[in-house]
Amino acid sequence: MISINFNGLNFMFNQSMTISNLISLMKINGFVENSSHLIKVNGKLITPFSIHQTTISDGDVITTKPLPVGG
Amino acid sequence: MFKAIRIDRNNNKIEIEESNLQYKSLGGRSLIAQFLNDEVIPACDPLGAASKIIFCTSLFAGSGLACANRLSVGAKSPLTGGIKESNVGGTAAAAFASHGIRSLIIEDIPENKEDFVTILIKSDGSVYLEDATNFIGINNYEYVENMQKIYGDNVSVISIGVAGERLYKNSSIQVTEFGTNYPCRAAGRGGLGSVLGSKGVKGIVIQKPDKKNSLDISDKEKFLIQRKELNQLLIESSESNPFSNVGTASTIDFVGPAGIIPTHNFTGTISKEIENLKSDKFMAFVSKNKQPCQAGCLVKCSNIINDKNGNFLTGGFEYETIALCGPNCDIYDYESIAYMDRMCDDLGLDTIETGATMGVCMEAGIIPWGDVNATMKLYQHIADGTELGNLLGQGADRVGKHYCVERIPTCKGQAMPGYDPRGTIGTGYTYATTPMGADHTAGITLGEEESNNVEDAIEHSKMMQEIFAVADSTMCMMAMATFAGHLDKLASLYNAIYGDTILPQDFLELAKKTIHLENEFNRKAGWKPTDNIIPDFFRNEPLPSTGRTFDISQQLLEK
Ligand code: SF4
Repeated sequence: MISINFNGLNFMFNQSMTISNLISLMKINGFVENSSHLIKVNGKLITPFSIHQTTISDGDVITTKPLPVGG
Repeated sequence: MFKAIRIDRNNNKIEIEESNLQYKSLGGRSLIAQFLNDEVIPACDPLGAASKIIFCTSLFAGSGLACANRLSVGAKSPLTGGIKESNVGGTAAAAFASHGIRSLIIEDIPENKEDFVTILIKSDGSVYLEDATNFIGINNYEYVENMQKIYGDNVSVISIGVAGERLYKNSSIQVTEFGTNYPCRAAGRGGLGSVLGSKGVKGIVIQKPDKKNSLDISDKEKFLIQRKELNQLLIESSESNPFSNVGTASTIDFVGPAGIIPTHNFTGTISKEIENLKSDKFMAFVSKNKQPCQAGCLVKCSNIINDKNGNFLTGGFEYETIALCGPNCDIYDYESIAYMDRMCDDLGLDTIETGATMGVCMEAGIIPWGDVNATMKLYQHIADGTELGNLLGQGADRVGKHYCVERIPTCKGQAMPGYDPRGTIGTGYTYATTPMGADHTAGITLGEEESNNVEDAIEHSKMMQEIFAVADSTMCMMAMATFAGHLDKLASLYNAIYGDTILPQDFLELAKKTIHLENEFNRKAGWKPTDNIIPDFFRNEPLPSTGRTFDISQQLLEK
C-alpha cells in the first residue's frame, strides 16, 4: 500500500501512479477544482513538464495550488 | 508546409518562400528567438536598416485547438534594447493560417521616411505593397475603417497609429478583434509599433483566402481525438474561471484589497475607491463580456464597452489597462479609464506604458493626482505630437528621467505591469531577470497562496518563465493555465499534426532553448547581469498592506 498526504488529507492507494494521474483522480473526486497546478512533492516543486513521469511514493506529502495567470 | 513572406522595404522586393525547415517545430516566441539570433545583429539600431521585424503564428495556429490562433511580433525593442516578443489575439493569426502563412518578415528601411505602404495579402495569396502615404497621420480606428471600405468588410488588419509612425518608444501594434472587427487588440509591449513605423509600414491587410489552407495532418484520427479532449478540458475549466465569467478585471477583487495593484505611482496606498473597480462594478459597467477575441476561443476573457449612446467605445478592456491607467494614477472610475483605453488603441500606445507614464507625470507634479481632465489633456498632447506629447510618447523611463523623478517603476526601460513587486516578489524576480524587460506575461507568480519565501519565489518565477515561454510559442496564455496540466495531450496533438514523437518534457527543452537564445541575443546587444535591477524605492519603501519591501538580493537577481 502507498500512503500519501495530499493537501493535508491522507490517502491510501494499492499501487503507485504518476502525479498527473493522481491529480486527475483528485479532480474526479472533488478534492481539487482544476487539473493545472503548481505541485510540490515533499516541499520540492514539480514542473508540469514532468508530472507525467514522476510517480508517487509511500509517505509523500503533496501540495497543490492553482497555476498563476496574469490579466 | 508553411509559407514565409519576406519583404525588403529598401527595394520593395517581395519573396514568398517555403518556411525554413529548421523552423518546423517552432512557432510564436520560440521561432522569434531563433530567427532574431539567426538574422539580426543584436547591436543594431532597432529602428535602423539592419533591424528586422517578424510576425508569426503560434505552433498550433490553424489547428482548431481553442485559443491557438495567437500572433507573435518580434524585433529588437527600442524600449528595452533587447529582444522582444509581444503576442496578440484577434483575427490576424487565423488569417495568416488560412493562407498557410507561418511568418512575415520585413527587412531594411525605405530611403524616404515619408514612404509608407500597406502590405496587402490578397484572397488569392498574392502580396502587394500599396501606397499608404494618404494614411499618414491617421489613427488605427480610421485606418481600419478605410481598409474595410477598400478591401472588404471582413479583412483582418494589423496596424500602427501615429505613435508608431512617429517612432515613439511607447508604440503598439494593433490587430482587429473577432466579431467587432475593431483594432482593439494590442501587441503592446516593447515599442514594436515604432519598428514597423521605421520600415514605413502603416499596416498589413489580409483578405479571406479564396481557398482556405488546411493543415497537413499526419494522423487525422489521433488529431481529432486529442483536439476534442483538450478543447473539452478548456470548456470545463472555463465554467468556474473568473476570467471567463467576468473578465481579467476580476483580478482586482484580490489584488485591490491586498494592495498589490499599483496605486499612486506604485506607492501601494490602498484607497477605499478600489471598491468602484471590483467585479460587481465591472459587470454593471461592461456592455458585453464573455467575448472571444479570436474565433473558436472557449475562455472568452474579452469584452465590449459601449459609450453612453450605445456606440462601441472599446474592447479587450483588460486588468492591466485598468490598473495602470486607473489606480496607478488615482483614477477610480471605469468610464474614464475606458476612454483612455480607446485613446491608446487608436493612437497605438501600450496602455501599461502609458498609464505608468501618466503616474510618473503626476509624481513629477506635471498634473494633479487623479485629475481625469488633466490626464486626458496629456493624451491629447501625444495625439497632437506637441513637444510635450513627443516626450510622453517615449515612455515612463524617459519621462521620469527628464523630470528627475526618483520613483520610476521600470525594469530595462519598460514599465512594470499591474503587480507591485513587493506584493509578489516572484513576479518581481521575473520583471528583473526575464529577457523581456518588466513583463508579467513572461512569468507571473501571483496567487492567493503565493509563498513569501525568497528561494520559493525564485524557483516559482523560473518555472513560470518556462511555462510562459511554451505558452507564447503555442497559444494564448489563458489556455495554457489549463493545458499546462495536460502537456501529454498537447504533445500528442503536436505529434498527430507534425508526425513527430515528442514527449511532454520536450516542451521544457523548447522553453529552455528559447530563453537561452533570448539571453544570448541580449548579451550580444549589451545587457549585463548588473542590469537586472528592481528600482530602489521598492527596496526602501515597505508595501503599506504588508510592510514588506522587495527583498530578493541584488546578488540573486544577477545569478
Ligand atoms: S482567452 Fe481571452 S485573450 Fe485568450 S484568445 Fe480568448 S478572448 Fe483572446
